[in-house]
Amino acid sequence: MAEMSAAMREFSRRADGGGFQLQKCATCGAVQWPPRDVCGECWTDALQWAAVSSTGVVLATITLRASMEEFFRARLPWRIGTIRLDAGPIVYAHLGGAVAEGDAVRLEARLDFRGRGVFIAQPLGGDARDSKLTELISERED
Amino acid sequence: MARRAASARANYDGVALVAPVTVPYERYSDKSAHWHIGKALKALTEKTGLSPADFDGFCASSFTLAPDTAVGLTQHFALSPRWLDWIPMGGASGLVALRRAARAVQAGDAEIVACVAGDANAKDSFGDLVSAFSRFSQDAAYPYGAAGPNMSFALMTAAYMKKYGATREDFGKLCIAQRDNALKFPHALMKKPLTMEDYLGARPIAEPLHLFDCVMPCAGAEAFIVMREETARVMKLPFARILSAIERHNAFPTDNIQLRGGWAVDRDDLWSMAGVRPDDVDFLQTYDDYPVISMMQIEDLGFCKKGEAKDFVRAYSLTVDGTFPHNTSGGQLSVGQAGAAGGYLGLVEAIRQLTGETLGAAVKEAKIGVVSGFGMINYDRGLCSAAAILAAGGVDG
Ligand SMILES: [Zn+2]
Repeated sequence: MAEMSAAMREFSRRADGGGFQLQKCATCGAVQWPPRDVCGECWTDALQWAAVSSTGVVLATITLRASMEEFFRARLPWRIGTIRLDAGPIVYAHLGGAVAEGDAVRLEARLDFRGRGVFIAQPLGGDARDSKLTELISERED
Repeated sequence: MARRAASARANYDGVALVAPVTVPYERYSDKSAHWHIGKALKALTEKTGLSPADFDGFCASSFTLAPDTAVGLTQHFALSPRWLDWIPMGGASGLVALRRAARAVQAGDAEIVACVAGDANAKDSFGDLVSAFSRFSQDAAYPYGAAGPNMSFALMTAAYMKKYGATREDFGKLCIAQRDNALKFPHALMKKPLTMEDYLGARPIAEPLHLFDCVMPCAGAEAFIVMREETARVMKLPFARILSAIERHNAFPTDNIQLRGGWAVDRDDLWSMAGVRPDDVDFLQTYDDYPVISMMQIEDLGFCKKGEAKDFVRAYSLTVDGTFPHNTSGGQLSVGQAGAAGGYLGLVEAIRQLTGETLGAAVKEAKIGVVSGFGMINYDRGLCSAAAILAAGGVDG
């Protein structure tokens, strides 16, 4: 399994079954990403995993033509984007199909080939998971 | 608690920057960070006549020194400093070191401070550095294609081009001018001229970034000394003075995508403290791991309005022998990025320009220079920004 923080490991565990859960602060309500141990807004440690809205808007997209991991190198080009979740945080996501800047999207949380919880952005009301994205979440290195 | 007005910043009078040194860069090296830092310290003694025991202050930065930090280096180099600092701030390391060391010297906590940054770059080691760069990056950035800083800067570049209308040719102009400067700088790893055709035709790395938009990691080190101006005069060492300096961390945390940095928060202090205007500046050294961030620094430091760096780079040659000299040694894009030493490169080159110790092309009658730094893509944006306005001191002031 890849190196990750304890909080990230918990996110990944919850993503394993396809759940979309992020930490929410019981004190101020702020939704957190990346996973934290203390609320980034009010500094209390009352963070609880909760199902939150999985929709958002794509801020920017890029196409990777180089990577430091063999899995991606074998499947270039690879598209990723930055998404502002309606629940608040900014996340990186793998992009399904022709998802483009400005699009409203729905995010899935899944486990990738190294056991890391990752986001995949899908068009609203559709599933544009191509073979590369299917491999991303179905292959396991360990 | 009621907010009070920020206190006025004390000046940096009486502080001298001397002995700019560079340990020549190598694309790959089997030598350790300890070796590179040791070579830089040795170069400081050779340049000044100081001996190891004369240094009572020591400040270091490195990404590849683990498990050591600055404290372990004191034993490596038999130093017994009464003031010690470790600055893990990447591209802002040099300017933050300057700020802290200058205050230590002013306060009498140290007399002679060696500021050094150095890094190793063994073959196939860069991936390890990038995958575990920070907790947020490891958890929530690296898994998206394992592209390191290329990913964040590609997204910033895409958003910047879209919002402000900058083109690949604008970034190319900046890169080509730097290469022109680098051709005269002996330590630059890039030795061939760069044409617009080469730039535009380069292979894509993380679109919209192509090969010549991305800095090349390498091994090397940079260093300088902070001491009292009085000491520099007695030792007859040419020196530069600090007119003003700023730093800021995690500025504009709610911006969607980083299109500005902390310079925009503090630049009024920077200029008013220095008592000079952008028109008075003889050269600018920006932190340039990717050209988009240099464009942002040109804007956020106040050389032009936000979004107009594209017009700015079109209007000036940016070369040492032309108008508005920028990254006069070639910058990281042409010299190479020696880890944390990349956060020293512009500053060390600025001290060279202001003390008449240039290794490459010299800016004619350079009296005032601006240096800025940018560092640490912790997740989706660079957190550290810093800048300083420096002036030539001269042996006799
Ligand atoms: Zn909270």
